[in-house]
Amino acid sequence: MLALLGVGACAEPEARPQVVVHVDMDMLLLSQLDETKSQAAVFDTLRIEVLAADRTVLDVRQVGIGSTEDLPYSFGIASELGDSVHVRVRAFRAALATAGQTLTSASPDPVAVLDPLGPLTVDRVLTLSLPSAGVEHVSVVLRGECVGSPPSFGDADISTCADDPATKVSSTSGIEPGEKTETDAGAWWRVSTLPCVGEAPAATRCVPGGLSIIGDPLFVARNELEYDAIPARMTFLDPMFMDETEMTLGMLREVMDGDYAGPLPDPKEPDDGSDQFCTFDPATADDLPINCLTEETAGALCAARGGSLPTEAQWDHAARGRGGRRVFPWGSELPDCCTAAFGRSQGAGCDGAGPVAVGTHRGSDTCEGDVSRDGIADLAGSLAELTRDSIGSYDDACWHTSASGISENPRCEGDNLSIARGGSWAMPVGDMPLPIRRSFSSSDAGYGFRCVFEAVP
Amino acid sequence: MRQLWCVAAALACSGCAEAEQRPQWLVHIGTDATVPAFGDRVRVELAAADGTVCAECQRTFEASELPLSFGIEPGDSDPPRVRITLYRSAVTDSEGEPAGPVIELLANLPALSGGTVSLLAPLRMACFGPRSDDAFGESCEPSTGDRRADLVLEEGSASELPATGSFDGEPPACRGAEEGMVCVPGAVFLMGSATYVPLGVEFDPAPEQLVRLPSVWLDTDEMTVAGMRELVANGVDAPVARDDSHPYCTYSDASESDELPVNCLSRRAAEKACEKLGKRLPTEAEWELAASGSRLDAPYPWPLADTSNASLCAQAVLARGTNANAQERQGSRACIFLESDLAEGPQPVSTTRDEGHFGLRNLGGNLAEWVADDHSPLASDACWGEQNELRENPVCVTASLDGVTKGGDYLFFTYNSHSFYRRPIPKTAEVEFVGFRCAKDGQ
Repeated sequence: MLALLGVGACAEPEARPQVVVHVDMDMLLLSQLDETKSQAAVFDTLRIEVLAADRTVLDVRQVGIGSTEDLPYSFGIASELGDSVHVRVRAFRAALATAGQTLTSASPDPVAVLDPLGPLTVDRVLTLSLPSAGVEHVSVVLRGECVGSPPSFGDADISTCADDPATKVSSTSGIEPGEKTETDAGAWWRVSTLPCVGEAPAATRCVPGGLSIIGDPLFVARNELEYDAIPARMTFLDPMFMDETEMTLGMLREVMDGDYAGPLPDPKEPDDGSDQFCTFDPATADDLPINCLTEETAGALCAARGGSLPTEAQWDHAARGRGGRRVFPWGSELPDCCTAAFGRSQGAGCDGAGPVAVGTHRGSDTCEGDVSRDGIADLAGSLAELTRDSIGSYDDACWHTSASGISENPRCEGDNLSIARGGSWAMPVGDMPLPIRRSFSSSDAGYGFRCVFEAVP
Repeated sequence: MRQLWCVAAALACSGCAEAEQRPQWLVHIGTDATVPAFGDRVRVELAAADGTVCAECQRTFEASELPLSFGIEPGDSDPPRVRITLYRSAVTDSEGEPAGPVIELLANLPALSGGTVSLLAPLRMACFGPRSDDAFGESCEPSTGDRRADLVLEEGSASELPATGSFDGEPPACRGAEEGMVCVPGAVFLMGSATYVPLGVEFDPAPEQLVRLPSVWLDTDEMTVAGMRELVANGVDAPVARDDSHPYCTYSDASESDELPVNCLSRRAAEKACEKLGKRLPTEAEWELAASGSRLDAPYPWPLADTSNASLCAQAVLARGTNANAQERQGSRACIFLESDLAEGPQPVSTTRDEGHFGLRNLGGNLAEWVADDHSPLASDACWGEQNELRENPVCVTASLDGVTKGGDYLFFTYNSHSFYRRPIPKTAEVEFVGFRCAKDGQ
């Protein structure tokens, strides 16, 4: 058998008085990631700071963790530093952090570190007594359940999430005596994706549920602060069935053949320039998506089919690779005109004008297609899509569904304008990235919808 | 389990006794790259003859630990292949794979003939570039940067490894002193960004470009109205002046405009103003090096932990007006909406918290700034192109009608404040959100 032996293979260290800390976590390691696990559950970096009793930073260390060989991570703290120290340990995903630096009393130069985003970080403080003689061992396991629940640094005490975000404990508690040699990585109950239950309605695809990340720290605000700035956070969603395409004329005609008596889209009006691209017309082919409608119409049509409009969190989860942070359904490459239905208006960059039949951009050997990780078409292009949520800040209370930093099935309905997500046939490439949020004010030929259906018992 | 770090040197982690005398390969890894700018993490993987990597055959180290050594115990089968990758942990995809250029070696190990064989794995900047598509196929040859299929790690001792950062050398200081200017030390750095949201090829800071620059002087501030008046008195063309139809143009005779940054002038007019002073416009690469501080890869020109909207509005002159002249409404008053006491439009250059690396002011906001380069997408090979080629002091000259402007401005929010974003503007345009600062060779 091959084995990597680590850095040298040293003799036992000299036993100066010290405490040896063994840090472990129950979140997922990259080496444990497969199709049944949530990418959002992966943590690949530890940032460890040792603070003096007065909380000055004595030393900082950042550690990459990728496989079970890397955990628990152990380090010693010499007793000469004082009677006690605080150890702040943060676990996070490096790709969701920004470059920063920090000063320590160990060095005159700032140390380059990654600054993690609080809502995506497991952040734990341990207050440790240092032994006057001998070597003591202590162990701690960072819990995924504490993600987004930062410690509170009071004047006297520090409280920290040890395992239950609803009940923070003193930083002196929750520390196990003794060594730890086996890792708990992957033991967190939220690391697995949740499969769909039940029979998929026609022309839908299963979008497995589980831990996900909504928002994007890399996407920066442009003009409208409230709508564009998207602070990332953890969500936990039920599985769902989602329409494989936007709702089409054919699907609408099927609903109208039943006993549907609800509102309908605005009709196509050939003589009026602004409505010439509305698709609701007897002459329109079955495979064109319906547009020129209100949120009420979209919601009523989904209800008539036994479903509902997706929440913004559901739409984000489905479009962006279920916590995979995709900028486009296919990945991060900018689209060409063959990739998705966009740029089809004057000066917007592609030939043609107006909406196209759904599912016509599925990719080829030479061109990416507008197809998501779960096989859902046209999330980037075709029509921007209505959600059931209303515009507002991501700081709104509806995102905080519990004491936890994890928002479970968040729904932000209200009286404000509806949120629409995704690009449309009319937009230039710069408007196409999935993280962009838009408010929807009135019936428009660039806006349509798709429905979601329950997939839980 | 790992035991690597010692606070206050309580544990003897380094400089320890020789490894146990079992037969093994002892691999010494070092780099000449600057860390963490070109990589903060080293991944070591061992593959069996069939190319599979077992979970226990992967280790991750911090680049700050370089040079480092590790042992590999032989197995029953052939000598393994080893892959060693220096990469940026923040530039990884959702599967954790590096999503930007790396320094990587794929090599065979020589046959083991009993005892310890000491091997060298130098991760050299010559190999900075894209990953090999075939995980265990061709490698970069560290001495030449060429690709080859059958690399075998050479024997040697750790003392033969390059020193971290030695590719860069010591940044040369600027010569002399220049009033109102600061020296930006030369460096090898990555222009552009691997982590950005695409807006279209015209704007995109991708693919990243490996650039070496000599030291350069840059004006501390954007050119002011007072400074421009003096130049106009000496024969430089005047910019468009403030009037009712140009409310955000700053040029005027009024003394309260003295400290405002001057705008509403073409790139040629900005060039002429700098030339009159014996200076020039900075190149796009120089501007970006100055704004990014080269080694930090920080998102904004200023160090800022709090990225809330209110904090960003207070940090720099951003989102404080709408463009009255544009046919289509541009810009935003969002910062005034958040903090009603903020003044509209461009602000005096000295009253700012927008102070970045080297003491340069208003790189992130107030006015976007002309640079010397003509616009060409970084993905196009007209001026830029493949990311692993080292470009020496580049400046882009093309037939494009567009120049490049860098930096954020009073009209928009932080989108352009990122040091890596670039914006094409017609060279002849006299727009309200674009001004300039001048540069001068450092040597």
